[in-house]
Amino acid sequence: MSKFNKKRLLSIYKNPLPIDLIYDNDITFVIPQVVAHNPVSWIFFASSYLKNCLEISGQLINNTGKVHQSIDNSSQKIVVKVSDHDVFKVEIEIGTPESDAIKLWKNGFFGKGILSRSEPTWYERTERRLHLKDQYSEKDLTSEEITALRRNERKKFKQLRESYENQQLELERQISAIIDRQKIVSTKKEMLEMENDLKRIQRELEDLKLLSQQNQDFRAFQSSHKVKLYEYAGPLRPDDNALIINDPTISDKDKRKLMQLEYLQLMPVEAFFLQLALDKVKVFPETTGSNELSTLELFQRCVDSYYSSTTPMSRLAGNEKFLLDYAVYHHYRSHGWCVRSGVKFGVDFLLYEKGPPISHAQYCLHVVENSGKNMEDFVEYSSLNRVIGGVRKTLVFVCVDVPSVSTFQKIMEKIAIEKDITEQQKLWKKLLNQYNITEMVYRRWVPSRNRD
Amino acid sequence: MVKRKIPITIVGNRALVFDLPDIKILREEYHVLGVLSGTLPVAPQQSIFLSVPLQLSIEEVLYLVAMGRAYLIHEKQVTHQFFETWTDEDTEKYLNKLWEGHKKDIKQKQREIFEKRHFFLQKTKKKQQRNKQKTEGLQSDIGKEEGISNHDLLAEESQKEIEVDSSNINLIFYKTEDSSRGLSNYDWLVEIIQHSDGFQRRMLFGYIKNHLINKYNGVVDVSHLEIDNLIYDTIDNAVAVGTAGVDLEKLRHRCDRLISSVRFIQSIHSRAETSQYYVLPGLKFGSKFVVYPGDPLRYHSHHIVNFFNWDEEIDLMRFVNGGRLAVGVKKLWVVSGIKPKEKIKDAESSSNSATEEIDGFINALFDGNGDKEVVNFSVEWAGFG
Repeated sequence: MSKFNKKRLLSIYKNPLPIDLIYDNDITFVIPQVVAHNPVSWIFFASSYLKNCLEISGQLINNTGKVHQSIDNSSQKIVVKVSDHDVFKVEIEIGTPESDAIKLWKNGFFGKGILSRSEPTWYERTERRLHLKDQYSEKDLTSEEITALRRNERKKFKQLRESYENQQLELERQISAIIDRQKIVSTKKEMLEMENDLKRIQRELEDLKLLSQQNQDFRAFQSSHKVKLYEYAGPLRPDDNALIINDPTISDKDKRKLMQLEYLQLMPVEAFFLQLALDKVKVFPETTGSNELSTLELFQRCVDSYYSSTTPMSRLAGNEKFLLDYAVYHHYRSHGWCVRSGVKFGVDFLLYEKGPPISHAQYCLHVVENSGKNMEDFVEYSSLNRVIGGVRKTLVFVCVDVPSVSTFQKIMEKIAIEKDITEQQKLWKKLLNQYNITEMVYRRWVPSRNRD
Repeated sequence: MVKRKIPITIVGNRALVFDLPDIKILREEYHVLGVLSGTLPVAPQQSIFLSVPLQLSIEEVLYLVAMGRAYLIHEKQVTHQFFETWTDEDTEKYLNKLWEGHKKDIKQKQREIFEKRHFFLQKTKKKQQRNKQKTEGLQSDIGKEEGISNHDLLAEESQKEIEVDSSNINLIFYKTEDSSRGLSNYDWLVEIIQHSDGFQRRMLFGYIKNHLINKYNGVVDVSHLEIDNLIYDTIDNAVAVGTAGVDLEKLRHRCDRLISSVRFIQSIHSRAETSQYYVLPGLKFGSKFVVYPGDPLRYHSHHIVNFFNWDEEIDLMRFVNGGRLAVGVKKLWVVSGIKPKEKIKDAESSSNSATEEIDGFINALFDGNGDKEVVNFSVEWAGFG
C-alpha cells in the first residue's frame, strides 16, 4: 500500500473507539515560518515554540485544558436490535454519511456487513451494478469491487494473450501449408502468387508477435486497456427488479431507489463491550414495543447466543465460553488492538494493529480456559498452526484463569439485586477483575530452517 | 499358497520388524510402510538415512494381526526361551555350521584368486604370441619345433603360478546370518509362539492396554509400560497392573477412535478402487492419516483423514480449519468414522471394566466384516464474492 493511501486511510479511520472527545480549550499551536537564510526568523521561531510549549505544559499542570469524554451522549446512543435467534443487528441508514452503523465501522471497526466482506458496502455496490448511479471515481470503489475489477482485468489479459497465441498458431499453420504446396506447383504464375502470400502472412505474423510481446506485461495491459467493472447494462433481471423500491410517484428512470437489505451484525462480545465498557449502545429486542435491555439482560442474551437453548443464570459458571471470549476481547480492546472475529481462519479472534483496511491481522487468538485438564489431542493444534502459518500470522494461545463457581455466583447475585447503575458498573468491573489472561505464542520450529 | 506370517517384535511397547525380506513384503504386498528407525548411537543419522528396524504404528500392527498376516513376538521372552532351550549340541552345530561357511568362503576366495591369475596369464600369453608371430614373419623358417616347446613351457609355468596356497588366505571376517532364522531352535520357538492362540491374545491384550491406558495416564514408572507383566500370567492377573481407576468413558472413546482408524486402513486395502493406496501418519497436516494414491515415493498424498466417533460433537471451527488446510495444500479433508451396529452398542453398555472393554475391542477387531461399516465424508472449502 502506498504511503499516501495509508495516510488517507488513517485520516478516515482516526479513532480507535467510537468515543467523541470534546476539547474545552482548543490548544492552538501557532508556529511562524522559518526562513533558512534569515537568522531573525530562527529566533522568532524558537521563542514562539518555547512559549507554546510552556503554555501547554502549564495547562496540563493546572488541568485547565480539559480533554474528556462527552457526558451528554444519551441522545447519540446507537440502537442495536437483537433478534430471537440472538443476532445483534445495527441498521444501515441510506443517505446519511454518518449513520450509526458507519460510525461503528469507522471508529474501531465493529461488526460486519452481512452481505459484504466486512465493511457494509452492499448498497453502493448494487447501485453501481444496476447502473442506478453511474457517476463514481476509482477512489470510491469498495474493496470487493477492487478485487472483482482486478480479477476481470486478469481474465481479459489472459483472454487476449490466448487469442494472440491462437492467431499466431493459425498463421504459422498457413505458412507451413503454403511451403508444402510450393513443392508441388510448377507454373511460374502460381509460384509468384504464393511467394506474395507468404510474404503477406509473414508480415502479419511479425505484427502479431510484436503485439503479443507488448501484451506480456500485466501492468502495461492495465494502463492501455480500460476494463469496466459492470459491463452489462441491459434490462434488469426479475430478481434485481425486486430490489428496487416500487414507488409510483417516481416516474423518472434515473431516480429509482434501491432497498437496503444489509445490516451490520455485531458479535455478542462486541455488543456487550459497547454497552458495558463504552455505554454507547441501546439494545432492544426486535419484537416491537419491547423495552431497552439492561446490562444483565443483555448478558443473558449473549450467553444464550452460544447455545441452542437458554441456560438459567443460577446454573452459569465462570468458565462460560462467552465470558472467556469477553474477557479476552475486553483485554485486547483496552490495549488498543482492533479485535475481530477469526472464524475464517478457524480461531476465536484476530488482532489488527489498526484495522482491516489499513493492515493485515498479525495475530490469531485461540482462547482456552486455563484449567488443569490435560489436552487429549495435540494434533488439532498442529493443524490450526499450519493454516495460520500459511497466511503468515502468529498463533497465540490466550489462557484465561477463571473464578470459582461460588465467587462467580456471588458477584452475579449482587449484580442482579443492585439497582444503582454506577454501583452495578463497579460490580461488573469486579467480576472482570477475576479473570487473568496469559498469552502463549505457538510456533513451528524446524532446526534446519530456523537457524538464521 | 499360504503366505508366511510376518513376525512383529514388541520391544518395550514398540512394534518393530527386523527382517529385510519381511519389510519388503509389508511394503509391496500389504502396503504397510511404517517408519525406519534404526541408527547407531555413535553415528546418528538424519531421519531420511535411517535403517532397520522398521517401526510400525499400533494401527498398522492391529491391521496386520487382524488380517492374519502377522504375529507378535515378545522380544524379552523369546530371548529368554532361546537361552533356556539352547543346548551344547546346538552350540556345536552352530559352530560347525559357521566353520563350514568359513571353509566355503575360503574356497570361494581361492577360486577368485585363481581366476584372476588365470585371466592375467592368458592375456600375457596372447601378447607374447602376437610378438612371436611378428618375429616369425621376419625369420620364417627358423625352427617350428622350438616354438611349440616354448608354448608348453609357458603353460607349465602358468599352472605353477596359478596354484594358490590356502594357508596364505587369511579371512578376517566371518559372515553370519543377519537374522536369527539360522539358529537351530528358532523355527521350533516361533512355531510355539505363532500357534498358541492364548499367548497371541495375551500379547495383543498387553500391547493394546499399554497403548490405551498407560500412555495416556502418563505413567512414569517405565516397568509398567512393558508387557512383561502380562506375558507369563493370565489376563486376569495382568489386568491389575495399571487398569485400576481408569476412566471407562475415556477408554471407550479411545477404543472407538482406535478401531475406526484400524478399520479405515482395512477398508482402504480391501476395496478394489483404493487397493493401491498407502496410508501414512498425518501429523504434518494435523490429522491422523494422510492417504497416498500409490507409493509415497512416487505420489503426493490426496487425502487428509481425521477420525471421529459416530455421535461425537465436532466443533464447526474444526471444519473451517480442516477445509482451509486441505485447500491450501490441494488435498481433500476427510472425516471418517464407523457406523455402529445396534448389537455392539448393547455389548458396550454391559462392559464394566477395562479388561472387558479391551477384550471386546479385540473381539471386534477380528470381526471379518468390520471394514464395511466405515463411513467417510469429505469436506471442501467454498466461498462467494
